[in-house]
Amino acid sequence: MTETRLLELSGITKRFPGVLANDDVDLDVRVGEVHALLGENGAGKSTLMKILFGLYEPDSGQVLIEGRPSGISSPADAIRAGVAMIHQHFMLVPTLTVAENVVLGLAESGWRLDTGSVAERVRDLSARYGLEVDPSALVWQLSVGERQRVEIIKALYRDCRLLILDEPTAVLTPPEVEDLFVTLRQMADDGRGLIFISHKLDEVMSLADRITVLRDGRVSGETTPGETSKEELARMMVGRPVQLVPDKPPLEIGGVRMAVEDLRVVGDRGTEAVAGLSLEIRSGEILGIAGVSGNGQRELAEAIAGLRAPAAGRVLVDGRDVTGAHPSEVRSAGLAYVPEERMRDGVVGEFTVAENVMLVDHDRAPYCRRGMLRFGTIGERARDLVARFAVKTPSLETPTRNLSGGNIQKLILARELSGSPAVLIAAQPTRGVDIGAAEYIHRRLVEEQGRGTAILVISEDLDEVMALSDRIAVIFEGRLMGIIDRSEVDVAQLGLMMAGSSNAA
Amino acid sequence: MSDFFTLASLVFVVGSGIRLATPMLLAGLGEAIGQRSGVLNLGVDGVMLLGAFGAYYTILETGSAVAGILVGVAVGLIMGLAYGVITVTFGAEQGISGIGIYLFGLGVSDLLFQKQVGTPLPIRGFSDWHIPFLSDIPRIGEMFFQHSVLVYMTFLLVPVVAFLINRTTFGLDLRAVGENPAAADSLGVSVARVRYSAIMIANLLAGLAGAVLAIELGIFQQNLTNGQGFIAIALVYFGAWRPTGVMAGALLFGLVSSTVLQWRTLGIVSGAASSLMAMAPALLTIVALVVISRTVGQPSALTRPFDRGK
Amino acid sequence: MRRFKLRSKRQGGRIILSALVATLGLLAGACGSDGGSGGAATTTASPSTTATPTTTASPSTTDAPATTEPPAEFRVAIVAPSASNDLAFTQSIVDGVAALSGVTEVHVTDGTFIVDEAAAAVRAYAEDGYDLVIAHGSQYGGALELIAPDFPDTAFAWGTSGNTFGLANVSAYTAASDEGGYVMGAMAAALSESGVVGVVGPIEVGDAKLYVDGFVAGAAAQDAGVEVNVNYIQSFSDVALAAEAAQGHVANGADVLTGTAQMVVGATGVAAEHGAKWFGTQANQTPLGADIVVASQVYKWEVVLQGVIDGIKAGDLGGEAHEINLANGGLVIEFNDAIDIGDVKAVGEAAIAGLGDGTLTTAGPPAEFRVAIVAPSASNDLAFTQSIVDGVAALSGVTEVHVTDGTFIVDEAAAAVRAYAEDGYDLVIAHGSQYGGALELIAPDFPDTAFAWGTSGNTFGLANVSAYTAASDEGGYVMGAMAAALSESGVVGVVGPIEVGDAKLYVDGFVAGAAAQDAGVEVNVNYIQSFSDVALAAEAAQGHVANGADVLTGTAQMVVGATGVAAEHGAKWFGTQANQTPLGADIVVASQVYKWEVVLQGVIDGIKAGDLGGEAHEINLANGGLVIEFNDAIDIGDVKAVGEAAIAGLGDGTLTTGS
Repeated sequence: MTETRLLELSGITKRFPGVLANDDVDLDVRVGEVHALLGENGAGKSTLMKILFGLYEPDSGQVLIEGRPSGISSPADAIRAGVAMIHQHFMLVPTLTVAENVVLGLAESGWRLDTGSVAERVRDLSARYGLEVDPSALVWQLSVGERQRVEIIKALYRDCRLLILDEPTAVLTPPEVEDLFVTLRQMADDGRGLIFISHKLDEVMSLADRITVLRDGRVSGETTPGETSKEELARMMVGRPVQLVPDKPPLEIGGVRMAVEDLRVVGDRGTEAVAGLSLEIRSGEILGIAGVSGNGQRELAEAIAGLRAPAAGRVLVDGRDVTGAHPSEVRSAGLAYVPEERMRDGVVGEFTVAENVMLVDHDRAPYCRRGMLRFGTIGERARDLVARFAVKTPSLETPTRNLSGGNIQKLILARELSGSPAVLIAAQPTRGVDIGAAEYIHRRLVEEQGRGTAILVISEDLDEVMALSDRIAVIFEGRLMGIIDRSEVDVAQLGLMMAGSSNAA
Repeated sequence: MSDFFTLASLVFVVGSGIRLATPMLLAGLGEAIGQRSGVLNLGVDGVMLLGAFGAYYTILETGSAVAGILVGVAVGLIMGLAYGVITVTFGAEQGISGIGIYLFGLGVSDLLFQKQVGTPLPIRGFSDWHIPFLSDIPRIGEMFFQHSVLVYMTFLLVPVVAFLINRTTFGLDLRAVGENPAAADSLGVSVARVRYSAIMIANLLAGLAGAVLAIELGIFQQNLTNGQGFIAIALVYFGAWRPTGVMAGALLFGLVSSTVLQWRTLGIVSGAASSLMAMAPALLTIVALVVISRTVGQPSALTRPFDRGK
Repeated sequence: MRRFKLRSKRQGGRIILSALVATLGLLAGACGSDGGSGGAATTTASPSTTATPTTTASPSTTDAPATTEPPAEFRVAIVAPSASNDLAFTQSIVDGVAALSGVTEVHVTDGTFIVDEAAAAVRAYAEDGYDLVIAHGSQYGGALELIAPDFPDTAFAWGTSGNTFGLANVSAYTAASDEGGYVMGAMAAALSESGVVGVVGPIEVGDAKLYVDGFVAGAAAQDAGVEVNVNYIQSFSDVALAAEAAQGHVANGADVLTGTAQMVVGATGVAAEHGAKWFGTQANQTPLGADIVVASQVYKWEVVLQGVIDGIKAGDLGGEAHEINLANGGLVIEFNDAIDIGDVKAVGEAAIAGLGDGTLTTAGPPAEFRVAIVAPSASNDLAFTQSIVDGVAALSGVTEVHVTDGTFIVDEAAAAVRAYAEDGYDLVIAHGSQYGGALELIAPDFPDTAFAWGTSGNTFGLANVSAYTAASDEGGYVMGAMAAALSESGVVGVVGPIEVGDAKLYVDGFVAGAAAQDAGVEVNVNYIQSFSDVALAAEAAQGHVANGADVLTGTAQMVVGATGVAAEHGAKWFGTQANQTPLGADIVVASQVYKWEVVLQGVIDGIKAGDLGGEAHEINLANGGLVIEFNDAIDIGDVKAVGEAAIAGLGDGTLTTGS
């Protein structure tokens, strides 16, 4: 087997003011291989790929494509050199058709737009790689999975030799992920090279031929799935051993602390996002909601927390009917809420750490007297919580937006759990959070469960839902597809349910 | 009312509406192209004024209407280049920059007019061209086929611009850059080049619109456009960024104006009612905008400078 | 953090750039309206007769109170800036005092070009008990104003100036040196063979400016083709610079030179060197060059100082201003008979005679009177704004006119009105009925400034506001009658702006006139609800034509669009507010022209006499403020007689417009 080096990055260093984003990074991709690039947020994966794609110039180092200097200094150069990139946020123009998106930027198409012949080639490529999509459809009408297929077709249409995929599975259902992997493998077998960026260890282990791990801008390891394990990859990413699945204590389930009865909620688009959903959560139990993004999860959480008025149904917290109540009433009934959009709904970015800790309780004694804030007591409490929840912050006076995602999430968790709630809703608790912080957050949630709190975990990360939940409720288009017990989980079946097949079995 | 519904009266109203619609349609077509690329130019009226003065002065001096048109176009191109440098190269805030262009055009056209011409003297433009055969059709011919060549040219530009936007590679680049410049950039489309081109075309048409206005009226005066450039911008929204939509809006605006005008001439409305009627075209536009803006989205990247790596 | 900062800085740059662009636009906008007026509309009204405020004291006969007593002691002190024998300014006063009778002692402190030194000398003389202390230099005025009140029993005189500071012990004296300048200028123009004359002056103020302005006027009066180059060298003392200035004139072809102030001695040398002729002033400068100095204007201060001294002796210490001039013999032109200038001397003598008996004027600087106009459209709109600009230009006694036009936004106009008032303009005209509300608020803040506004009959009861209006219905009536007579189709179209004020008057008059002439004629009136929409005015005219109109009229500035349509369809046009014939020589039959000067002249004369306003004025056919101007290029046959009959009838009151 001759292993031609399709791509060779050597000694890449890129410095931003105050940050060393890439420090002497080496990476090579061979013909026909899927090379996984693994690393925490800020480890330097994106910077490295932007250099490869001509969006950044490296300060030093060399980019060789098939042994020759690439000469890439713009996306146009990259495309000409046979490099294509599928960004995490799709680079598609929603108001154009699939064919138009595909042909965009192709010089050879002439001055007149001929979408007919483009559509024909798109259909060819669709058939060959199993990427079913209608060339004349407008992109905004497509599902997320279809959009990703358009992105791949764009790359294939340009006959790319090297394809970079930045977290391609983040938005897909498990069956879609499987389909994607088939396509990617076929592309590699055709003699292309693929760089697969991810932080999902399972996926990396199952798809990659080789794995390079980045930590703090440096290569912390290069290995193959055969030589390593998920635990070791996590250790290479974080720099210390990581417990990927929290130890769950034996269940001590009590009475029902939260219930949702036939809840109907209208979403932003005016359609019914939650369509008659009923759930119960008991004391000391974690109920996980699994589902593909946009199937009513956010509306459900907001309706329970009092942030969105339900159209019908009831919400009970610790026995009190809080349907349509003001958020402060819901809170006083015993609900704590870790919102999905932590920067928008969880904290005020410009406020200091101490101020954000006090957002909920600032109008109560002992933090407030006769309408005046008491900074002494506030400072004490903030210091205490920051220490107890291991929030890494330069000071209590630091503006919160300057903290990392993980630390902001810990700060929110600290605030929400400090009131010893009866019910906790945690929406996407570890999205965009480092493995280390995620491990900590998972542990705190399990501890809280041990205290007897009823917890609702809403997550698009199926691994997370499976690791934390005692029961898993799958929702699709705002309806409950079924609830599966922890002991009976079957990933394949979950995937089917997430795609809309109800748990008739 | 009966007077108004005579055939002669209706024929006149249609012809009059078409004439009133012409300059704003031209400017609106240009602005539609510019906005499709994601660049808003509030300075249309100023560019029109400069184009109008340039054309007027040229014709006054040389007597050549063709030279006047060319100067109007050249003035538009120069202003387009300036606006491109300001908004694309330097990424300046488009709203404020556009207002700056407007005030510049208003002031400079007036200044040059006062310095170079003084008393407004009439100029001769193109005489109406009665299209053979078509213009002989009773009524219809009178309404549609007895206009200046500039009117025909303007309406012929509607399908041309529609073709440019929808059926050419440049049009595809244009639409992509206006919706998602990052995506276009990632495919090797030069956002700056596309936007410059769009701005140049937009301003060319604005300058041409001004030239057409001055030539059709045969005169120049301070603030000759009287805000037509701003109406053109409204028409772009009205027309949902489509050339045919802009044309529909311009015709509607022109026809409402000419109808109200005819009512006044015939004494159907007068006094306070007449003042209220004067607002009809503007009101209609606002109502249409409110209705349309609920259903059609503008180019997502409109007014947003593109900065790679951001 | 650092990256964020970088970005925000960049955004800052963008905001600054945006602001810059906007500012540029604003600037251009400002230039547009301001520059526009500066270019075409700011006119300096033709200078009028000199309204010199100074009164001339006739040389009084000495009426000695007691002839028996020995001559009483009378001591005079002179403080002057240059040398006593400078053959110029200082020498003139020294010679003048020497020629006085009844003076027992004269003491001179000369060369005090430093004002503080001069002030000290003046004070010392006063303390010393001098009977008359003369501060000879306009630059000493400020010092004298402080010193004189400390010595109420001492008489002071100073010049050249007309200002006594209201002090009873100060006399002021001045020379009408423009008269001599005029004589010299006339002679210089007549004498020059090259057609170029050079003037060397010090600083453009006071006596020097008077002389030079007179000289320029005289030269121009004699021969407008002669080029007079004036160089104020900005110094009273720099002889070398004066010489260089003279060299420059000669190099530019001048063969006749003149100059004033003490540094000109440098210039006469240059003249001599190049054989150029010289005209002197302030003293007889023949000694500077017997073969080049043709004539000198000599100051005889004694003509007025004798009266001052006699007054002092009689107990009147001053309080008056005096002037020497050709008529009272205080100014004398002394010819150098060594030079034969032939007929040129006759030119000079004719000028002297003319100035002396008042048949000539030097057209020197008239009393300053500045008028500002704020108007809504362009100064040359051939309509409303142009009427006031033309009207003010036709006024006499106005030295400066400034126009802010295009202020159709009332707030802008109000700001301009206020700025002019603050700037000290003598009359601020707010030309637009829409400006009334703003003016009512502004005028009380400037009680010493006169305002005029129109068209309106309302002065708001303010004593400093004049209102003016036009009986434009009269012109409208005349036009309407003619239009009805002229129309063959029997349909006449009117394009109006908004149904208010002057426009409504005109249109109503027009309709009445047409009906009176021929009740069968249909007059369609279309108020397009805009003063500025040219395109709409054009379409309104199109509409009239489509409805059969063959005669059109219209009022306000947007009608320039309508006249084009009239021309295109061969329809006839009647204009108003200004003569609109330029808009179409073959279609404009007649125009009603506003002659605002008919009422404004009275307003200005009133202001000069201290009456700032408070009255409403009207121009009409009877007082000549409205004039119907016919375009003789168009033959309208009998229709002209219809118009003239209407004019006559309205003028003598046998007809009325019905409004």
